[in-house]
Amino acid sequence: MTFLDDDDDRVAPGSTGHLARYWWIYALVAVVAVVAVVVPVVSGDDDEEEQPAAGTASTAAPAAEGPWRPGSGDLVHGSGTTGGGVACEEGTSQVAGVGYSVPCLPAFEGDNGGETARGVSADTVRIVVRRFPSSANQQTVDQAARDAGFATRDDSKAIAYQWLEHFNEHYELYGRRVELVEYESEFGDGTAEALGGGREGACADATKIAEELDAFGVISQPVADAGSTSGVFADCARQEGLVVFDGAPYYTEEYFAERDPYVWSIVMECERIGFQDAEYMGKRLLGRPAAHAKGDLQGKPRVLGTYVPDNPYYTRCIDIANDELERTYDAPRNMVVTYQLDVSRFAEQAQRAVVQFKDAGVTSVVLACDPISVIFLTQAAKAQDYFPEWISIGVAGTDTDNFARQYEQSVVEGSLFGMSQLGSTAKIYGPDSEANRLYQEVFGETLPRGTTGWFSALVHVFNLVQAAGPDLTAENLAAGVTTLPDLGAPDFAYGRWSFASGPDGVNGTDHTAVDDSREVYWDADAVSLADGEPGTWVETEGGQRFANGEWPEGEPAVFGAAPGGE
Amino acid sequence: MTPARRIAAGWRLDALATPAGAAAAVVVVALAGWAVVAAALPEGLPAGIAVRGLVLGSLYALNAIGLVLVFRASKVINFAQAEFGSVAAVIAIVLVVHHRWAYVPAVVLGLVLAVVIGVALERLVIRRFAAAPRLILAVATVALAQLLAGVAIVIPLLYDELGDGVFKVPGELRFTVEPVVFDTAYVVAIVAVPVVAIALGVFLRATRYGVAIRGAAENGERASLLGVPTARLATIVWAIAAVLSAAAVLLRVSIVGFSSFAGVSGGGSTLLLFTLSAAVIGRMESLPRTVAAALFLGVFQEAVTWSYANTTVVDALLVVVILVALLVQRGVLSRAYDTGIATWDAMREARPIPVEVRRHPEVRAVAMGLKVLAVAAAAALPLVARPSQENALTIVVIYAIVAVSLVVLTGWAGHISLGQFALAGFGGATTAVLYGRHDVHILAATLAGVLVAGAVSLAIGLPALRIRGPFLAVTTLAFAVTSFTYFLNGRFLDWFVEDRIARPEPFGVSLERDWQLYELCLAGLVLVMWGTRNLRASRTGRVLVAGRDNETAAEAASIGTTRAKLTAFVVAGMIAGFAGALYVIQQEGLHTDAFSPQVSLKLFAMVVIGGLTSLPGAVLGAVYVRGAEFFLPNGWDLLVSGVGVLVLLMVMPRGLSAPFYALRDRYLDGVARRHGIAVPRPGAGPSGGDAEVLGEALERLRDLGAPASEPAARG
Repeated sequence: MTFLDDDDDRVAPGSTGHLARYWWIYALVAVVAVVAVVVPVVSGDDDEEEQPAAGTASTAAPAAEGPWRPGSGDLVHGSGTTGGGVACEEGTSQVAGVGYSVPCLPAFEGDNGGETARGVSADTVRIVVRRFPSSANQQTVDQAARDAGFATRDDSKAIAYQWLEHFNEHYELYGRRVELVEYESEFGDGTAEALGGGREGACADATKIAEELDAFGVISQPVADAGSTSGVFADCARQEGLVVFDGAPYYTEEYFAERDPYVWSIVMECERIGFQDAEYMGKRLLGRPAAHAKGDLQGKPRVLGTYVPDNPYYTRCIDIANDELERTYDAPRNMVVTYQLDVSRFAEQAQRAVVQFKDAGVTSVVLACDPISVIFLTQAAKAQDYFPEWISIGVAGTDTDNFARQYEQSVVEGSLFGMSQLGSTAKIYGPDSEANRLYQEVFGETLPRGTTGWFSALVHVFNLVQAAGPDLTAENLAAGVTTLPDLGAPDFAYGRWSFASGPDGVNGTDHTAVDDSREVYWDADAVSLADGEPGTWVETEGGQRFANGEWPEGEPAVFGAAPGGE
Repeated sequence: MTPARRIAAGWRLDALATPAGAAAAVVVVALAGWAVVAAALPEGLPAGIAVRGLVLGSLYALNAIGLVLVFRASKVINFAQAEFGSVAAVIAIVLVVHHRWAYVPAVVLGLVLAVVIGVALERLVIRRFAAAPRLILAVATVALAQLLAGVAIVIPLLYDELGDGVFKVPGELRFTVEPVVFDTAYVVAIVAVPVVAIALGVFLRATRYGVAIRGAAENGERASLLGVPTARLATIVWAIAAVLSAAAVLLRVSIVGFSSFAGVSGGGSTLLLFTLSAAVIGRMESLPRTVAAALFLGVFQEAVTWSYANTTVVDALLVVVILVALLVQRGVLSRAYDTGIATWDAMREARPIPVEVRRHPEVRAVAMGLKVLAVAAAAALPLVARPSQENALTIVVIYAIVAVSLVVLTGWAGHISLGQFALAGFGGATTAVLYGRHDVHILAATLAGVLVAGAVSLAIGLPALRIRGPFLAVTTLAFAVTSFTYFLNGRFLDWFVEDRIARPEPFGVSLERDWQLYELCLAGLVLVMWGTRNLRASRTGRVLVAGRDNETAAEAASIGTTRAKLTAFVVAGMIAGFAGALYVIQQEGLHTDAFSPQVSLKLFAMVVIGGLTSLPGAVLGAVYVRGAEFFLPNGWDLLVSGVGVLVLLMVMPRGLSAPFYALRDRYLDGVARRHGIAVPRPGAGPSGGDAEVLGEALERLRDLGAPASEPAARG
């Protein structure tokens, strides 16, 4: 019992009247009422000056028409001269030397509508770059990145600001410039968000970015090339009406569609991976012997088993793959073993999974999981004398050199291959990469090793902002995106970027850029062109990429096998 | 007892009177159990899977033995048990992979280091809580776990690269029990764990120290009076616990393979739950029973996972296993309860204001004035807060509401709940799904959420009539894990989980802005505090406290405690459900990740930090823990890290509210003197005098720099 806990049964006589006993409640209600009235008045500046959220369409300029058109404004591509001084003709990119830039537009002249959305003024578009404060886990990630030959965050950022200037000069932003505002998270927890938690802090961060930093959109600070915002933060950002340009890697299109028009990504959505997964298996793996398994499994008819987190988004995509296998390829469903995304349990769960795959006679394990689990899977496989094929489907960085070097090499050697949505390391970071060529041309120097300076991330942001047109809102951005032609090409560093087709390649909406995959295999002896270290993923078919329906029939051309062999 | 039952009992006792008979009985029961399980599970239970389960279960056993020993010696659930040896284990692994040490010397050195760390932690940290309530010490071990996990992460970062040494048990032993191949690491575990268990048994039964430890565990005060060096014995026990933990980590890493330091840890909340479960099934005192329970849980986990290819099912079933195990042996659990964690009198509930003083107009005016001032100041915070801070403030207030529910259940009724935020999840899920999916009015949806959470809490409360103290704590932790992995997970119960709702506008009142929702939540907190304060002042409240302090005496006085207990569960559940409803409105949907067991543990810690029996203390705890996370600059969140909480608990073992009450008593003392009111000195009650509390805090602050002395000197 406490000072504030006056016993009712010991209330002094004469003070038991209703008002006497409960006057403080009325006082409280009065205080709350006063505050309710006063707060809007005192902080009324915010409200009065409050601009519409990024997604709130303004009543500015009307929408424009055109073969591909920005969201609004009388803008037609393929004529005149760009703001960067390039003659704008049919097929010309807005930024010379950037294969993924949107088609050119003539220099804009006129009224851009000014403050069309929060974070947008007549002169600027404010994009916040969110990063987490240094922590033990952050240091671990940075260390791993350095070990893998990537540049430091600071080096990458310095390059990024050079690109920012260049793109501001050459993209058509209708009189505005993109302004990057760095924000070190005050409330968030990067580790928790990476594991699917930390929502409270993420949402407070989103509020901060939206309402205090007055941002139109947000990206995560990339390490080298492109970052990715957690699904948790993307959710919060959507609630605040922020446009997230790099949201929720490997989430479903269903997830993106529910958050339309706020969350976009470069990375392929997982339903599409599911469809491609089925197509790859149906056309190239099933019905053939497991040629790249070892030991007793070698040469046996392929039996597939999938390892996937027990998460509704990921399991749904595996369901899609299995449904498609049954429907289109008349193949049996893969055995599916799920695991919980709890790092402390990864090792034991991987051990159990390996025993289950082995007992079920699985010849080819499909890696729909995180890369750390692959480390444990391959170690457990060695311990269990289990040497199947390991099939990459390109999720969560399992197909990066850095992680693959940590897999148990005696197990994956000659057995690890599959699909990858990533660009080739050489094409992204190598001396002949698009970013390096352009950097040399513009700035007269070579890019530092292991970074493009957020190149693809910034190209994606500028593409979408230009596509939105002068009346920049999230809705107009979405409208502009739907009119974009395919960008890049199958043999470009990041393949083909397209927002035109749903996950099955035909129907539905699309909020992610990458639409195609390449076939790769792991070569532990080959030297990586990115960092000069042994161990890298090698492309087949000359690095050709395949969208839905384009995968060729035939045995994978991996480990020196002839393309399309049986 | 009927003649037949007497015969049966006699037969049983005769047969089990010898170790061989007992062992045979265990084997028979295990084989029978295996046959039943194999027949019941869709995929059966192959021998290899059972053996693997036994090996992994033996690792749980190592930690569970440590838990039991510490509980017997210090009467505390050591939540740091799993992490206790992680630092030593990491150092041993670093020696192998970076400094190319051989496996055996590195592991031996690691175990020696574990002893050193165990001794150091006992003397530097644990001993300082010797006179503190056991719940405070339990929370200190939670903080210690956080601290040790942090150190274990930092050590490898001192090196630039991972290193190229191989951490692997030497030798190439391999054998197969279909379908599993076992290697040397498994063999080491199979040999080492029984050896350790037997050695410990011999130590406890046949050595002077062992006997003394057992004696001290029976009755520490009496042992101390007889000249047994209980403090030294406690040091030995904590050192043994550290070695067991280190051995468990090293064996686990050896078995699953080392690839990076990310996999070197004592384990998350689920592994902790397995360990705790084994210990409570062993009644927190019987080592053989604990080991058997750990082995059973290991096999259970492997068997279920084998059949369903999904570890979530194991978590969902675990709470059932624990409940059944505890309920069937309920009669023998009371001893641990009576001697253990539930030493509630030590919580020293703040003394009420004597009526003579409280009636004085000045005191009444000041009391009311302070209340109004506090609420008005809280209500006015949005005037100075930025929008992001309003968002975070709302979270703090919601946590404070859940903390109040824990004060009712744990502080007043004496039932430890480590799954209270999961109850908030049930309330929130109900509200969100009714409002968001079925278009029920938000008030009705909230009411439904409150009722559902109350009903779920009642369901937990029913076994609590038979299970108490640490056993109930483990049960509620299992509830938290199960809720997180299953009940509040849209993958399994999609009809119950709505992850997106719009903020409602009840009766046209907008809650779109965070400050609006903050004011609503604040009003809710005040309402809840008002209601619970009245509950505490009512007969029900007094019955709750009476049952908490001495249930037998209460029942001897014809006070029925059963209804009061269930009332406490229902009320606490309803309050948590109300907070959950506000939470999903604030978060605009129910997101499973928000209801992890760690959140419930953090909630429990914040209530203990605030002062477990105090409503204002609950609010202070919420403000301290969540407020420091949200509002202090980056780096200052160290205050609520393991180190910060440990230091706080050392300085203010009675919680943040204790100085507040000390100041109150000092003021009331002055009022009494000035007005010539003849009452016992207000501060001289069971809460301790104001000068005592403040002086104690200062003394402890000074002591932090000095070596710990024998507890008796302070106690």
